[in-house]
This record gives sequence, structure tokens and C-alpha cells, in this order.
Amino acid sequence: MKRLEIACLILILILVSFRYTEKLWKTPSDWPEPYYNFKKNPLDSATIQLGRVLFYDPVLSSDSSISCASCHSPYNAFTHVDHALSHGIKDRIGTRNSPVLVNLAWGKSFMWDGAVNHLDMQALAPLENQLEMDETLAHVLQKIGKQEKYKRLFKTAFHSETMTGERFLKAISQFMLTLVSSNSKYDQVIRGEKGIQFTEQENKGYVLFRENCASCHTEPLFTNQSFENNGLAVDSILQDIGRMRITQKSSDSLKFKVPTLRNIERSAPYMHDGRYRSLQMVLFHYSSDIHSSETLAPQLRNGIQLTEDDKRCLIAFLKTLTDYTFLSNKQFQYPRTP
Amino acid sequence: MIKALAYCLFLVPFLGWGQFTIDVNLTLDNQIIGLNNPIQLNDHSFQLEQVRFYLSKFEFYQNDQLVAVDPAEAYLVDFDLDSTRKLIFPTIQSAQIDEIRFLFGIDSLTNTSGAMTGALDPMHGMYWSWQSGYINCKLEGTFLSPKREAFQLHLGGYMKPFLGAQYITLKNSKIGNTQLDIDLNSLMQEVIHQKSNLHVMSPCFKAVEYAQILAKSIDQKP
Ligand code: HEC
Ligand code: HEC
Repeated sequence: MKRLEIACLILILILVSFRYTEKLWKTPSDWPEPYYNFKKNPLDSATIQLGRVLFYDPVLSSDSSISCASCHSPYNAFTHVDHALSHGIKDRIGTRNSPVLVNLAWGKSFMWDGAVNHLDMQALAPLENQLEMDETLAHVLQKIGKQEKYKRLFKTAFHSETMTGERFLKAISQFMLTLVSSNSKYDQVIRGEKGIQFTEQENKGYVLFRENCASCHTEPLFTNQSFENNGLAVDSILQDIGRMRITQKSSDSLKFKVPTLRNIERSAPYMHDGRYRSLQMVLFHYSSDIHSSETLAPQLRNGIQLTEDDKRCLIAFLKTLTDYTFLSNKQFQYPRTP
Repeated sequence: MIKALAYCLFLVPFLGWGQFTIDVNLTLDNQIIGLNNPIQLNDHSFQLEQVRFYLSKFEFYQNDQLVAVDPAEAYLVDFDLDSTRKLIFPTIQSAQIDEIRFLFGIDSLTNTSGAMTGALDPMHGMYWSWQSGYINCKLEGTFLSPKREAFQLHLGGYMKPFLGAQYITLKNSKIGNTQLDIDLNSLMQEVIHQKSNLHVMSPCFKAVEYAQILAKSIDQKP
């Protein structure tokens, strides 16, 4: 009898732990499979928690003033609000607008010009940028190596206190991989959830969107991950050539990575340099202010013809991409009890 | 008796019999050179302050047949750390080897595979942060005369057309352990010749050219 009880208990434990690990990742229905290779970095709740603590810890910057979250705030789908160009330590101003951190598991390259080829390597860029956190990975590991808190967190995550660059980077990746936004009104409508429908205006906006925007901002991620020139005039001070900085090919001049539009209502200002403060300004750009150049995307050569009503409808549709479950998810916020 | 024999066999790898080792040296015109010492080259003198590079993906051949693949991903050779200049391959029997193939640098696949451990851990400072990719080779120093001038070569790149890693094949004429000399003569001649390129810090054609020159300067001594 006793034996049977123990066997049952073990079975239940095994089943529970299976369910538990399964819950950490779920590809939303009808979405493509993620691009990130989870086999090399299997999600695990203790590692996610370590990544989350690191993400919110200013110890990652040279004067302990700036954390990842300083430029990527959870309340704004992890972008820097109000600032066109992101601010780093000692108020040094960067050269680009911080993008939202959403659905990164599907990302094939990162940064506006695709300079980073793997999510694991992304954290190195701000960490070692003089205008951002101005640190080195080796020194950050040394600093956190002295803290009991991190010894505990590494031990729980990796069953060893040894802090390597690999573990540090993979933990931050794990936290970022959990930032999945797939429960906006748009998603609920597409899934055919009961009682949820587009308004007439949103519906008209959706039709316009599919006609004019979806070739680049492709559903369900709202990006096709390619690099395009969407007709922005070059900023005379920043002189940002985009993708060409990486490939040094003139055919890539002024091309930037097509950004997702999920939670776009919350992530102003817009574009790689944050030049537009509102969605109205973005649509004014696409309809009336396209700058022609060699690499301009062909579908934008003549601008996109939009009436004032079309613009209102498009904006109404774009606002259905706001995911309140995502924006208020406590799991993503500052870890109060690390 | 059998026990004693097994014991001896067990000890063999520790005694170093049979296991294959490679000693890496920096040379200039076949003279071994080191860091932080003035070095004369024609009418120039310079000193090296940092020399670090990756050697990776070792394969061992006999009569053109692949005998063994080294399980280690890569070695980071750092002339500031003597221990890193000796590469030890405990599972390779030197007697069988007549050819070694390896990469000077890190291949494209490894460059796009995310965070790695050991020699490939980005905490060693051999990874570009603002743009992904391993720095295959860091060579830094100062010209002391005729004019004091720093030079800094960070060679890398994993995307076409800037593929930095170089395939090296060496015939192991003499059976036994080997010494690998990297002669800086051609490279430094070129650096002197190209004074406008004293700071190569990102993937570009110049970086590929310098890496090719270095690859040609790798020679093996029994
Ligand atoms: C000083 C502000 C700042 C800090 C601090 C910062 N970032 Fe960023 N982040 C940016 C900017 C700006 C970009 C876009 C840079 C570019 O494209 O050149 C960016 C881009 C990214 C991206 C790429 C997103 C995409 O879709 O391409 C990720 C991921 C990211 N940051 C994660 C992090 C992490 C993790 C940290 C902490 C280690 C961090 N950031 C710290 C400003 C910052
Ligand atoms: C040819 C491809 C293409 C088409 C078509 C296109 N976009 Fe874009 N979009 C881009 C690119 C590329 C960017 C980023 C440009 C930059 O920052 O330099 C962008 C940026 C944006 C942004 C800013 C996002 C952010 O996070 O800053 C919004 C909003 C936007 N587009 C909406 C639209 C709408 C609405 C349409 C249709 C009316 C549309 N786009 C059509 C390629 C395109």
C-alpha cells in the first residue's frame, strides 16, 4: 500500500513538472515556429528569473545608473518613452531610438540595421557602448560575482555559482524570449473569440492595411524582418546609412529593419531616429512626404494615397494591436522579490 | 600482471606519450619574438603590446584520410599568457598524423550560433559588441621609430564578402609534436607600406587581406 502511494506521488510530481516546463513556452496558434533555437538554451523558470533581475539591474552600467529597463520600459512595450534618441549613462545621448522588445523569439536579426545576428549577443551592444552603459562583460561579471544575491540566482539557475559570459547572456535572452505579445484585440478577432469584433472603422483600416502596409509589416508578427527604405529623408546630423553600415553595399543604403507594429500605440516616438511623435505624422509621411532615392522600396515610389478618413481608419486598426495583457503582465515587470 | 599493464596504459596520456601537442610561436624572419620588446624591421622599429588569436576546428589526417576531429571548438592563443601557446590534444596519437587542417579564426556558423562557453565566451573581449562577430585576431602595438605611432588590427568578419577566417593545411613531415610559427614579417611590411591603415577595427577588405597575409605566414617546424 505504502509503495503504491509513493509511486502515485512520484507519477503526479512528474506530470506536474512536465506541465510546468511546457507552460514556459507556447507558440501562439497559427503563428510560425520561433526562429530562436531553444534546444541550445531551454527555457527554465529560474534562468528566466535571473535574466529578469539582470534586465532591471543598473549594476550593468559603469556608474550603476542605467539598466536595460531604463531604455526599455515594460509599460511601453519595452521602449524608451518620450525620447527620440535613447539616453545612456551621464545623460549621453545615443544615435538611435530604442525599439520595442516584443516577440524577439521570431527575430532573425536585431537592431535597426541588423548589426546583431543572435538574441544572445544583443545585450553586449548596449553594455559596451560608451554612450549607453559603458561597461565590459568581464567587469560586470566581476561586479555581480561579489553579490550574494547573484550567487544564489546563478546557483538556482545553473546548479553552480560560476558566472560565465555565456550563462549571463543566455539568462537575459531567456527573459527577453518570454516577452510574447499575442493577445491584442486584433489577435482575439483573428482567433474568432466570442463577442469580439472589429468596429466598422477598424475593419476598413484592416483592409487598407493589408493593401498598403502588409507587404512589409506582415502578419502575424507585423514585420517581414527584411531591410527596406521607406522613404525617410536623411537626417543631416546623424547621417545614418542603416543596413549599409553592416554590409557596405550601396544597394543597402538607407535601409532599416522593418519594425513590428505590435503595441505601436504605446511606443512613440517612431522610426529609427524617433522623428515622428504620433501615428498621424507617420501616415502623413507615407501619404505625402516620401523621399525618393535609389533604394526606395518600389511600392512606395508614388506614396500611398490616403484620404483623411482612410488615415483615421488605419490608426483605429493600428490601435487594435495594443496588447493590454502584455503591457500589464506582472511577470515582465521589476522583480520586487528577487 | 594484467592489472599492472592496465595501470600503465591508464597513465600513458598523463605522461604525454603519444598525445599530440602544438607550440605556437611568433617570429620575425625566423627569430622568435615576444611582447613589449623593441623589434627592428628595415628602417622601422616597433613593439607588440597585444597579440591574441583564435585557432579552431582542428582535423588530423593520415595519407589524406581523416583520422580525428578535435572535440574542442576553439583555442584562444594569447601571447600574454604563456600557457595558451601550447595546444594539447590528449586523444590524438601523434604517430598517426601526417597532416593538420584548422582555421585561423572562427567560422561563420559558430559566429551565428549565440552565446558560447570556454575559449569562445564573449567575456574574453574577442567579440565585437556593436556588431555581432568574433574578432579572429587582435594585434596591437606601437611604432617606436621613425615616428611614434600606435597600430591596432582587429581582424574578423563572418559575412561575405568579408570572410575573415582562413583555412590552413600543414603537412606534418616529421612524426611527433610540432611547432607552429607565425611570422610577422610580411604583415608588418604591409602595415608599414599602408600607413593609412594602422587601425583596422571592423570587417572590411583590408581586414581580409591582412588575415590572408597572416595565414600565409603560418609555418610548421618539426
Ligand atoms: C541607453 C539606452 C539603452 C540601454 C541601456 C539598452 N538598450 Fe537595448 N536598445 C537601445 C537602442 C537605441 C536600440 C536600437 C539600437 C540600434 O538599432 O542601433 C536597442 C535595441 C535593442 C534590442 C533589439 C531589438 C530589435 O528588435 O532589434 C534588444 C533585444 C535590446 N535592445 C535589449 C537590451 C538589453 C537586454 C539591454 C540591457 C543589457 C539593453 N537593451 C539596454 C537602447 C538601449
Ligand atoms: C516598403 C516597406 C514598408 C511599407 C510598405 C510600409 N512600411 Fe512602415 N516601416 C517600414 C520600415 C523599413 C520602417 C522603419 C524605418 C526607419 O525607422 O528608418 C517602418 C516604420 C513604420 C512605423 C514606425 C514603427 C516604429 O516602431 O518606430 C510605423 C508606425 C509604420 N511603419 C507604419 C506603416 C503603415 C501604417 C504602413 C502602410 C500605410 C506602412 N508602414 C508601410 C517599411 C514599410
